[in-house]
Amino acid sequence: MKTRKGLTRGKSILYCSLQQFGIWLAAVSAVCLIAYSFISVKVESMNTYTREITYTWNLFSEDGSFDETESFDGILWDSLHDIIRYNVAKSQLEVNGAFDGEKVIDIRTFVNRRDTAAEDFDLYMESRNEDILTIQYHLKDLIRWNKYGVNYTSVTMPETAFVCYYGAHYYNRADGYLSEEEIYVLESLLGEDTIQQLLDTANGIEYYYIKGGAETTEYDQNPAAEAAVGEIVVENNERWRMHEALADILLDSAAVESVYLDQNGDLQVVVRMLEERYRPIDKPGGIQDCVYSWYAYDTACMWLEQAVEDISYNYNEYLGFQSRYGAENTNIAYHCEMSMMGETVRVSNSDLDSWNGLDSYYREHYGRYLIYRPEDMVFETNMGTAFANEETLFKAFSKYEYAYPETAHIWLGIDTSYPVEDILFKADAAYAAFHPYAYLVAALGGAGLLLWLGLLLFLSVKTGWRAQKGEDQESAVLKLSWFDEIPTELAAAIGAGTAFLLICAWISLFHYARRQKCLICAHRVRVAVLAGCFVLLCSLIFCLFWYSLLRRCKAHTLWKNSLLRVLWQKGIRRPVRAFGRLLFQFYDNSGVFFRSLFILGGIMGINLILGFFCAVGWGKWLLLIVLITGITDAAILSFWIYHHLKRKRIIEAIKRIREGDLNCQVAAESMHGENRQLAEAVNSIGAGIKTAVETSMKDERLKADLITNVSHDIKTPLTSIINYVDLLKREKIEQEPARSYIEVLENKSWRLKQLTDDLLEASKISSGNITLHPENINLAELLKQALGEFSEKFEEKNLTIVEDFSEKEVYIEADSRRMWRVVENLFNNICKYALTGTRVYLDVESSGQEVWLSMKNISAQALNIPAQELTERFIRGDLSRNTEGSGLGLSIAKNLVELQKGRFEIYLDGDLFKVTMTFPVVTLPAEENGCL
Amino acid sequence: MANILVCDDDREIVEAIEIYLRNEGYTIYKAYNGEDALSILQKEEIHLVIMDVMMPRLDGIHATVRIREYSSVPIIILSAKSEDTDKILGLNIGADDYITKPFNPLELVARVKSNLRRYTKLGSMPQESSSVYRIGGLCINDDTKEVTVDEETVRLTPIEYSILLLLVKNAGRVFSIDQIYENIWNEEAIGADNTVAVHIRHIREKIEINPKEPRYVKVVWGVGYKVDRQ
Repeated sequence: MKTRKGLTRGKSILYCSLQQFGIWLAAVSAVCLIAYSFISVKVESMNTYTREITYTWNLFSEDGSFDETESFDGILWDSLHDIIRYNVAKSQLEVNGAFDGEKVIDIRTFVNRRDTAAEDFDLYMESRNEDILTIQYHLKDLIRWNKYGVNYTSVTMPETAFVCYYGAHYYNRADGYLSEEEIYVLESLLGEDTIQQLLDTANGIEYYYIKGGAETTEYDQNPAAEAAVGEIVVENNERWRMHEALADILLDSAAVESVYLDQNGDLQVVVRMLEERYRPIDKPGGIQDCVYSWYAYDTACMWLEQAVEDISYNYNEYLGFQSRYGAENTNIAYHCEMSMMGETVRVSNSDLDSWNGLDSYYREHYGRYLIYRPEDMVFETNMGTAFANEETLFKAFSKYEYAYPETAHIWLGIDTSYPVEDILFKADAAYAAFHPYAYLVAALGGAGLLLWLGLLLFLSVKTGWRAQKGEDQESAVLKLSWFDEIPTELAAAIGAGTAFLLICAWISLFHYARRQKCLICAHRVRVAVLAGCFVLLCSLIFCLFWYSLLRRCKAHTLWKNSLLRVLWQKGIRRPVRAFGRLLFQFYDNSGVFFRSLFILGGIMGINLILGFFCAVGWGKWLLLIVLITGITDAAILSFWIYHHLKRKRIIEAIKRIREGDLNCQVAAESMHGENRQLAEAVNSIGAGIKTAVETSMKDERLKADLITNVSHDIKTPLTSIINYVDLLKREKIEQEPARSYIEVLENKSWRLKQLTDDLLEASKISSGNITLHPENINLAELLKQALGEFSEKFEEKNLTIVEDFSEKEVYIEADSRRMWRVVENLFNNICKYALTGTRVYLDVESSGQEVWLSMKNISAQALNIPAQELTERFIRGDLSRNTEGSGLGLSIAKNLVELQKGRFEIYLDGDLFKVTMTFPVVTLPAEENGCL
Repeated sequence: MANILVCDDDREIVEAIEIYLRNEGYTIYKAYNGEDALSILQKEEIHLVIMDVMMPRLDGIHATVRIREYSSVPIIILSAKSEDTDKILGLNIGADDYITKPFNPLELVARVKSNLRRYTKLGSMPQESSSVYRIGGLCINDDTKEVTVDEETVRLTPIEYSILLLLVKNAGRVFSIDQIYENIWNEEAIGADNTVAVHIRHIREKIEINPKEPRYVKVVWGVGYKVDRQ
């Protein structure tokens, strides 16, 4: 048996550490590959909110340097956008090329710079015969106000004061007059009570209120009020006008916060008005002084809010751009010129004053450049594919409709030696630092992973087997650690808990990492090493549980050491077994039909019934039905498996009986049904065969003894016969027939002696009753010796020996005297039966593993017997027993060869008689060849 | 001449042996069981005993053991048992020779003669010179190139003589055909045929009583030839 080899404690720790190192290496490589394939920058777009922009690149690309990658183009593309925006912002915030807080901003123009809303509003003002509204502020004020937003104060005024705030204009609407009978009140402003109160106070007038807002046109008519319309209209003229105007304003204005009735039943309006400080430069009295309706006031407020927000945003962006695209902060040099809102704005971070000859300057000074002047049809670049299309470039400028893209001039250049530590510098550094080693690191990572996997496999096989020094050889014992002694379920629970925690940690780490790309960029190696360590920790914990599971399996303690087993043994086992016995009793005592019904009928019946219930719509019982079906099926399945396991045991027993283990018995008592009958049958067959074999062996022994005794008994009288025939021969009998009779007697008596000897030997050999003395003999030597012995006999029959001992020294392990007997018998056969004057071929061939010895001769007589029978004449009884010899020679030779682990084959082809013997070759140490 | 005791329960065999041996001039005493044989041995001067194994009252094995207690007379066992184990048993308990039934009468006579000669003459042989090699009844005088078996001269050809001398000089050692060839012909045995084997068969036929069961030149099948150290 192969001895199992274990690991020493030191070795297993070493392998385990190696394995963890492998996974660490793999993780570090993987994280490095990820971390070195992107760069992230933080962009502060607002005071409070920063966002990260990430550019990734393919580390395995063919690109030699960073400025060939798509990421480079991406960064530049974004920068180009930024520069355009910078230009735009600059046009808004600067006066004569410098930021000026005193710059006067007309918020009407500013807010409506993108669309034509301002003109619409102008039309509205015109329709009311009013001046075009301009509201101007200082730039710094607008920026300042953004800090706390635009603030309002709530002013409460009575209905009349509210409506009359802007004088006599209240009843007017842009689209005409209201009809006199109607009052519109926004439902959202009024509670149910207020509406009722309104209806009460405006008694007799047809009131309408609009449900759900200005757009809804569903009117609720009050039919009772219809008759009295005329009088009340006149009487309450002032009042309805007031209501009408209020409704009118309420419909249009956002300034009204709420409407309520005070204690006196008077309608009060709460209005939202700008605080004192928002006085425009050109309107020292405040906005309310320069507008003439609540609608216009609202619009102005809205403009102010919008302007404050936009200007601040642009200001922040402007500041950001100023720092990011200042010459000291970026490697990108640019000149950008655009016409906006009627003026030409130029931005540049270059110290070059002149705007002439920029084309050649950029071409010469920068590794990568872009020159774009749509007006002059100039478009020139040596950057990547992202900049190949002029169309996209044009679109980039067209985003700002108030700017004129065709007037844009832009020169963009990148100093590819990156003198400034900006994003390009960092990206290039990361790329250059890692790109050449990407494949190496990937290979290292792969190798680490392979190492981990390989050692996992290896240790999975070896774990638990601890090498132990025996007296003469190393052996292995299964050794469990304290951890393996923890009950299985407990260990599994700990394992699952740990796994859960680790997965949670993974997820949160992953999410954290996604948000902290800048941080990762700054500490790539540290992050990689830390991630590697974390993976190592995970792997360590995994290995702990995995190997423990394997050790438990190997030591068969998985079940033995489990809490379920305790539960099973202490409580459940007994009743389950009792129930099982009851079922088996029923099963054993029923016929084949009922047995089948018991199994198949059980499944089908229950499934059918439950399926029926399902079909008729016991939907809510579905779970229960599935459960019952499942349990029944599982029970029957387990019975089926049990049945087949027992059946397998019977088959194994049959196999063992077939292989000769006649003492094999099946435990029939533990089986049921057909299995028991089968087992009992197998047992009785086994016993029967055993008896038969014993009888036959006894017979064989008796036969051998009989032959031995008989041949001894024959020999004594034979001795006398031979002796007296010999004496007769010496009597000098002259009569001719008598002399020949004596000759016959002598021959036959010697033949009888030979027969007796052969018979005795054949019987001994075929019953295996001989002792062999195996030694290493040289087949070629044996044949030469035999040829020497037979040389004269062969010459007598004029037989030529053709020998081909291709292997001069082929050693086989055999009893030398028995081998001589084999060769002697075969040579005798040749002498007796070979055709006179023919050749006899002797060949010895060796394959290194086996040696073939073959003898071929031409038979003198036609061979009309099957080859097989030639060696079985003694047993089969041959009809033609007239030849000399006993006819046992071949049989003895065959049996002797087979006893010595050889093969003996006879081949007949016409008159060709060929004997082939095959033996396993023995390789000898060189010095044993000569003498013994 | 010598007195020979023939002991066999088969009277015909005893009488046949008597005829053969008397023709050679020996005096024969007959016994039909072991006890008779023992009593004759005590009464008469016997020079050789031929003893059957399976006999009534006292079998040949026990009789031989008893004889060996007081006598060193040559004993030839004559038995129908032809197994190796039987032969070994017989020779071990003190028999000098073992002949299986049915036997060749000539061989029996030759063996009787051989045993007698050794019993009567060889014991008193004076020490010979170093050029005389003696193995049992085989004697080679290298000075006179004379070979005798049981005092009878055997005629060998020069090659046969050389081979026999080689084997006798190195008694106990097994020589393969090639080794013999190289020693005698003094040339390398490339493709040495069965010449050596044929010569050795001839030697055996000349010096052995029964060449198939040689006493001196023994064949170790598949290994070579040897002469046993006596």
